[in-house]
Amino acid sequence: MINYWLEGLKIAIQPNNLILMLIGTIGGIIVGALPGVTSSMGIILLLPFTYYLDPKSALLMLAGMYAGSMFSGSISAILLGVPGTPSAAATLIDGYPLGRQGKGGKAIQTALYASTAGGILSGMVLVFLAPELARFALKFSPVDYFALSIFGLTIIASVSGRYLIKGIIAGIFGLFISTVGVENIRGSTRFTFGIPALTAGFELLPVLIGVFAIAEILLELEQREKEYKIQHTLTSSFLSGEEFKSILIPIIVGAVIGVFIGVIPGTGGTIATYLAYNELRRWSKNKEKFGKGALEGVAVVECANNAVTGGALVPTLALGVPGDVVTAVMLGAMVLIGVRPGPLLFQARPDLIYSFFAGWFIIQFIMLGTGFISSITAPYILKIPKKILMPIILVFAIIGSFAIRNSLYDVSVAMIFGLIGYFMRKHNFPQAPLVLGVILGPMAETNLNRALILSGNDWSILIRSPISLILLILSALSIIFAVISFRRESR
Amino acid sequence: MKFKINWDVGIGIGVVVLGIFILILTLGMPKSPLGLGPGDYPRIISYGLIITGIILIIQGLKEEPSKQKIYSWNSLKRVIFLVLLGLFYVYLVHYIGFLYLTPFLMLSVMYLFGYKKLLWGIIISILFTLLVNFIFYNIFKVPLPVFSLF
Repeated sequence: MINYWLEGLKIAIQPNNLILMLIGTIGGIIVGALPGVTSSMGIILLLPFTYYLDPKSALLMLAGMYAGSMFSGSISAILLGVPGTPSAAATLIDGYPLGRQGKGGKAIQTALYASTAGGILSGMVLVFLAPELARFALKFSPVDYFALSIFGLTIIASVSGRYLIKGIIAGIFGLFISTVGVENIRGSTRFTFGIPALTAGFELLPVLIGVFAIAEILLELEQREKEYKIQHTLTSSFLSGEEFKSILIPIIVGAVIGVFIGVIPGTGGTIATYLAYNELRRWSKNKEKFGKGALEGVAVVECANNAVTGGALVPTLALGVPGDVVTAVMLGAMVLIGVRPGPLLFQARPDLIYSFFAGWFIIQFIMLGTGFISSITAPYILKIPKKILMPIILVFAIIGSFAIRNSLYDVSVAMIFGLIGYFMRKHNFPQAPLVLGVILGPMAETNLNRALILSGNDWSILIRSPISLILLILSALSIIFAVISFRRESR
Repeated sequence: MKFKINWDVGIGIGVVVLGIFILILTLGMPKSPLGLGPGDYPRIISYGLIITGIILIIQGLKEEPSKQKIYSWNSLKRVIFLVLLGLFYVYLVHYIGFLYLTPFLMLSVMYLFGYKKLLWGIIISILFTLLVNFIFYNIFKVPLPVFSLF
């Protein structure tokens, strides 16, 4: 184990990897800060740059983008009153009032310290839990893997919120998309309608680019007149000793809740941040300060938000089942750079896993440094006009979908899925389930086939394996829980 | 222009139709004596689409159709134009090449987003295309389409 850590650290501190982590983190901070550009979009747009790197370096760069963007969603929440990423929405409650009071610099620094603490603490949970979970998952049979992919798909329930049925439809549509082309069991073609290009099916990346990047450009185009402006100046960046002390307890509360929520597949940053904020406010002696510009409120939310990242990576790395929407995109990104997350990865590529672990902690410190600079330069980042930014993103989207196999067909696929993603958003169909369906569909089909062959076409194998049975029960509970909580909210 | 349609019912019908279409296509696929045949898994998917489509129709019928305008013709025009522009770009780039065609695409998209400074737009589009071309074509060796009209 120590050897793995030393080897991983040696890889992570190589100068080229440090530079890539730095670029990834700076890119993440810029991407996360800009309203309309999400963490998922940032990861997708970075992908074309990572194809040509060694998978270890590529993964470290992507991790930088992930961590950086999760922090910087707070910047626009504080300065513009618009969360840069969905999970930074709770930062708005206290962050924006602080920004309006001219304490935006202090609020960004609070967010930075809290995010770094959250990232480090959740990283510790990641390195402890993920290998254990992977070791356990090595006992899985094909039927258990099938049940696991079904469990992964039930994340749909939690990311769909009140649009559960639409989320399920999007997920099933994603499963269908994954069946187009040559099937990997017997090699026969399905749903190609005699079109040669469809034989290869739909590559994951053009689908991701279409649904997350191009759809977002189309939505921004609809409201092209809307430009955000900072209404106040950024002053008093440094926290006093007293202020620093006041955010320590919120950081601990945020870290505990964030890590716990993050590990549960299908939860994610938004749930963790609101839960952590409410708990802190409930137990705080200064309840009246919350909502009016409390640094504690910013600290608890931002720490929970970043504590989710390490937690959500536990099932992603150990089982190949994403913990939330952004890790679903990270999972897709890993597959594209040639890394197939799951228990076997821990056995086959410990160098990659442990360099990622070591890099994760280094990234938190890189984020601390670059984030500090961003608390001063943030107003300039936010000045990039949408009219120039969106065409640039479009060109990256085109290059990204082309470069995966040098095919213009994939660019057309990205454009068409962009339109599909746009219509989905307009009619409240969550996009993440579609991507989950595309990622988990082949895993479900292949393992169900294997399980049926091994059992002589006996479908009862699904409930005879205890692991499969537990996972299927958990899947059902996850859906039932989503329905009940939706009904409660509706009342 | 306003669309006063119960969208959920309409989309639900579309989902059911897609499910039935997939189901019909899978009926002609070969069966397997052991394990899944090529049509078995998509058939399960088609059942899922049909069932969820019906639920969406029922939900749509129960709820009052939203009076809020989902599409405005002006913005929809821009969206469709951008998608067509992208597809046209894909068709043309094969002949014109990435380096020569991309500045036009960027400039058109900037214009669509309401950017009015033509000279700056041209400069930004050309410089950005040159930079991207240098990174991907020269450094990463991605065989971006080159001019091949003659």
